[in-house]
Amino acid sequence: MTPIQRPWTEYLGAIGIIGTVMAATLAVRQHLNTIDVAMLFLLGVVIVASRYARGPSILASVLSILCFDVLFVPPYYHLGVVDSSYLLTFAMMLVIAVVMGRLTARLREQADLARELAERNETARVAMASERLRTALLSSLSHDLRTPLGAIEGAASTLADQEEDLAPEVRRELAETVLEQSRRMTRLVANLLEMMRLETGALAVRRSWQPLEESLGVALLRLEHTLRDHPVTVRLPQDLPLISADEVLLEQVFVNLLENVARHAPAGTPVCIGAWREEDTVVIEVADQGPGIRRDEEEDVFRKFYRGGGSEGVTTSQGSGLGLAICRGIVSAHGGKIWLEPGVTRGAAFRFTIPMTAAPPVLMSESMDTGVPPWP
Amino acid sequence: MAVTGPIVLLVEDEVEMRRALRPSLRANGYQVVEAGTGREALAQAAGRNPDVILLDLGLPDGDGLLVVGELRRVTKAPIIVISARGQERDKVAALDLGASDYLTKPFGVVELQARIRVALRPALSPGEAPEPMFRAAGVRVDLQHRRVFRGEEEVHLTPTEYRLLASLIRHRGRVMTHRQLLEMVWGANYAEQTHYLRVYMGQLRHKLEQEPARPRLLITEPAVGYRLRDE
Repeated sequence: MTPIQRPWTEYLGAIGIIGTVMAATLAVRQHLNTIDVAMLFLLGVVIVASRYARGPSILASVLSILCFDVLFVPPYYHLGVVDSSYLLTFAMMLVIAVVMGRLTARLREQADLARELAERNETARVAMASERLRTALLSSLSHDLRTPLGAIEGAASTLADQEEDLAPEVRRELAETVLEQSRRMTRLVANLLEMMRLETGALAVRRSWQPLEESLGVALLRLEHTLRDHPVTVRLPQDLPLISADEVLLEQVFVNLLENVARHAPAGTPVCIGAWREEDTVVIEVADQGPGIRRDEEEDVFRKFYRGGGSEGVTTSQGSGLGLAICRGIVSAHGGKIWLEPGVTRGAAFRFTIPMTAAPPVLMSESMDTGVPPWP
Repeated sequence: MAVTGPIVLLVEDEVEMRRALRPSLRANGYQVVEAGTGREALAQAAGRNPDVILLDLGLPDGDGLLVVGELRRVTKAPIIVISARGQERDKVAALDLGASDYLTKPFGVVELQARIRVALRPALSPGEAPEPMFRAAGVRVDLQHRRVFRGEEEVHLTPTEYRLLASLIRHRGRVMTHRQLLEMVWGANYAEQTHYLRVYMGQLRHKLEQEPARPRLLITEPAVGYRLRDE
């Protein structure tokens, strides 16, 4: 869109152009006859008219006429003409300025209109794409919410209506369905809320200095059941510095990464968790021996509601499609990065960093005597 | 089912939650008294003299935390607060106001029963010595002679590590906030120095736990404190 910069800049431009024509013509006047000079001024007027609106064009033609008349038409340095045929030249200059000016204005209007139309089209295209995405998200989300709810309702209504007719093991199975599916719902709702908190900026990061092992320990305890088929190895160096992080959020990152492993890696395959210091950050790795993630999906997996799938031999994923997006949100909120380590030959290796923005606090050392402590 | 079992006061505004919890409490021999608001809770606490109170922090009439404080004035019964994940600050505040434990929604019945059992266990008065021998998760602590064993092997703890362990044993099964432990072990000046506690807890785990990153005994309660698991 052209802002309205016509008023005085355009008039200045017109004066500039005609001035240049005048200077150039004066410099080479010996080699020109009067018709050439008139043509040069006409050229100036055409240039002005093609660039600017009608006002500046008329100004340009008037200026040209004045210059031409005073400097190049006898009597020199005097207004007025000896030969009346010059009057026709002047009139033509004026007419050309007006006609060209109108033409330019129309062209400009059309260009503006075309640009505006293109912009409107683009907006519409983006709106349609995001509308499609929203529809897809909604339908996948409502499927995710309805499936466990349907299972719960089915199992619970059977229990409520036909209790006496059911064998004890059937009753137990139904009750377990209710339990399992309500846990699935809980996870999903928790993830949705977490995502909302991240996106609305309502997530408060409460940092404190802590050993990494602690949050990891909480996550591993929480996932004891989920990870029962995956032997977990933890390798943390003794001298790993304390990190400044929100323990509840950090635990969530571990939980989401490990749930991901449990979902995608076949039973029996191990998980390896490690960490090390690298310059001003602590790098943490969660690596599995599952089917891995295709190169072209390495970024996509962090997208909201993206679900990896299609890996053979693995059950269809039951995740919310939010886990890794939440991880990325939490890690960024800590000033770190999370990525899928490329070039891993087997399985998938997620890495994230927690930057060491300040030096960890120093603890006053305790004398290492192991004698009888003062107590109580 | 004994009618004379301990009385549980269930303070919860959602009828569905009360209906879900009632049968399992009764099945475990408790008498259940219910309240849907903070005001009812106070009346019931004064009138029925409950042995333990389950209090949902998200009550409709006013701040659940205020109710903790007011309940504390009318009864000595232990209060277990129930709150959602992500409300760690409220949990800590409730514990500082005198609640004795907390449960995070959603919780299982097994967890609830365990908390109630611990809450009903008489607390030790300050001068009173705990049982001389503590055993759990392969760890044995002789509190009389201040000796600690993992399996058959004696473990040497620094004085601070031992004080920390002994404080947790004294309140075993119960959550202890960071502040409570820091004040007990390091003194009031250290109440905010949470990293001391975390580092020493890490050291204790490395000396006592088989897998320090998957503790069985010294359990972290995220953003709240620690709990020594004894069952």
